[in-house]
Amino acid sequence: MNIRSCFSLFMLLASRTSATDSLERVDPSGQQIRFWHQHTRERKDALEALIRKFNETNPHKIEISAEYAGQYSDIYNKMIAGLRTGDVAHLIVAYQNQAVTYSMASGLVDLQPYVDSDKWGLTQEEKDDYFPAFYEQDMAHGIRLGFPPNRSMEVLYYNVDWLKELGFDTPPRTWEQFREMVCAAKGKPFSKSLLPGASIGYQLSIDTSRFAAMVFSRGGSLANKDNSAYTLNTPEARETLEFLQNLFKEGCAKQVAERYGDQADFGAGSLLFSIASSSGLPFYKLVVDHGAQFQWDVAALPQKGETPIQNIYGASLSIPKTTPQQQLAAWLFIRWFTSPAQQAQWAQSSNYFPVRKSVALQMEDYFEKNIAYKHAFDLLQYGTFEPLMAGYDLVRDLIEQTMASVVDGKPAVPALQKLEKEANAILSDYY
Amino acid sequence: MKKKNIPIHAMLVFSCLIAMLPFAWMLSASFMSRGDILTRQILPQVVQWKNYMDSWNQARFGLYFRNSMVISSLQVFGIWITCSLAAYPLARLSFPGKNILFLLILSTLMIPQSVTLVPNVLIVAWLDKHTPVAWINNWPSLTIPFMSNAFAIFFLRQFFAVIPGEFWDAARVDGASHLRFLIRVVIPMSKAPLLTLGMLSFMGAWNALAWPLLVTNTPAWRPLSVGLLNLVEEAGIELHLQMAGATISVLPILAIYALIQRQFTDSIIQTGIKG
Repeated sequence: MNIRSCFSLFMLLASRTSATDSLERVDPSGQQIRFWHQHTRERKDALEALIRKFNETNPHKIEISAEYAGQYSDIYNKMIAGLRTGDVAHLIVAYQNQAVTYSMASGLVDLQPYVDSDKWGLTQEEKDDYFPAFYEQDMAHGIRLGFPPNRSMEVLYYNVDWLKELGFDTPPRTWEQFREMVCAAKGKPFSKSLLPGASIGYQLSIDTSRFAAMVFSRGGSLANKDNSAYTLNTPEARETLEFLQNLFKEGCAKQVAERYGDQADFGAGSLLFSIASSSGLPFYKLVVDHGAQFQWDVAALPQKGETPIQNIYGASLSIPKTTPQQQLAAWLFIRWFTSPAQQAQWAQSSNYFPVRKSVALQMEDYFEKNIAYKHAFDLLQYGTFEPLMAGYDLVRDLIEQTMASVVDGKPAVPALQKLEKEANAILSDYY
Repeated sequence: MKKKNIPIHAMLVFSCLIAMLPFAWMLSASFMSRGDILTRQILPQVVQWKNYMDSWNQARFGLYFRNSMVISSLQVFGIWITCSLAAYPLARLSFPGKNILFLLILSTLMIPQSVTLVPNVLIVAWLDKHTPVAWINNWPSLTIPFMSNAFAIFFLRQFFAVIPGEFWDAARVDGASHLRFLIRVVIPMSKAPLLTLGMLSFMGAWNALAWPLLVTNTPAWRPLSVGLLNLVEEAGIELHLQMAGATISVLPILAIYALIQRQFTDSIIQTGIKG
């Protein structure tokens, strides 16, 4: 460690110590907190019910007021404008790369002092109760930009009955088995399919999180260890894209033609596998119940190694800079919201995953009624996440363009070389 | 029908059917069950009237519908007044710098709306803090910034320019000023372009989403487009509800067009605006 690193570490520790001391003396009583979120319909109702509970029971008489602010990108636009006007909410939902952008404009509070505070923070036992990947995901260069209220994961949805008809008892463990099964599905439609003429093994929706999940499953990553550079032209990335390209060439897979088209086709019994977010579990249940009505389940994505590596993601709660009292009040809501009792209620209402391991004890009844959710929950311990880097939303667009071009037939290696170069050029604009 | 017109008419009918296809599907899907949507039915197996009730209730359509009507109407009236006043001198007066001014106004058409969103928010936020009127979460921010635009000025200027000069000569003999001439002669003659502009502006205001989300934080003044956004789920299909909501939201536009379609066509012909 050189002198510069020592000095940086010293300054970080000094600022943390100073921040923590002053934080202990802040009084959050009576604060009115505005919370920008993106939830609609049932999730919005469930969130508002929890917020009412907090408002009625918290000892500091803090009042949270939830405001639907559109989708994630709309909240981002509001924040970008709000950072200039000074009109921002006290608590917001933000993806990690969005939080990095706000932080670069000095718009966000470092939450680590709140987490570590003796008076307001979490005990070591509480910290250990969080799933490690969830707990670490919002850290960027030692600063905590957000705190996870819930998470989702890329999972493999599969038609159990159709797999049996094809002669397979278990979902694919390796990508080679995956290829074998989807190509078998091409030749033998599901007996209960409502659209037998349209049967296919796999539909790819062009999405960076899908790409990342497949790369992770092969033991790869999207960036280097300290997130100082993107590593997108790797053997795992090449293998991922070439595998998909070959599936397309063999006619065993195709692109999703419309939003949630894979979900619809899965429910109609004309799609064997779907790789998608676990937050779609209730919708997959709906489409199957209203569709071909067959037995289905979820599993880890096919893997290269023995232990699964699963892509977990989700927006976090971040606190914009306002007043110390309002910031602390917002943090106290986050701490309350991520406590086991609230997490159990939120997880069952929202179908997101809770962020704490101990919540499982309060969800046994729910697990019994939702076997697929339980199977996905059991995979959370294997979670990892996409890199937290400035400009990542732009790089996501580039990754999706590359995916689309390769499955269309372009060679993977030059496409990935170009992608990596452009991604690192974007990164260098920020640092 | 003359034989030589048959291929043209056939092509027009075909094009019309293609253009109407998305609307026809939207209407059909609005009455479908989830199962019908999944199995890609063309028509609903059993008509689901409750989709409309569900959409209306879940998306707070009552409040948002009222808001959209007020916001769109105010914008239209504002555009009529300001853009008529701006278009008249550009069409009928001579003054130094007129052409440069007109080009400057037109050049603003080249600026994408996304570029001006944040600066406009800054202006509105400043006005909210420094004027007695509340702008954020209130109707002024949703209407006043849009009560004038370059296209409307250009559109009216084109029409005002072709009004024969004899009308002005006659009005001047009677002692009319330019303003009186505008109000008493030009505007009554401009019903068709004004109604057309009104409809186009109404549609623009009706469909706006990004701006209302930026300047409102509560449902009090949010428009219908935000209500429709409430029907979009993060991880799954609710197309039957979304299409019911979309059908509800499109009805006022269709009704207005039905009332003014003749004037709409006339104004296109008279001003020479195409496409």
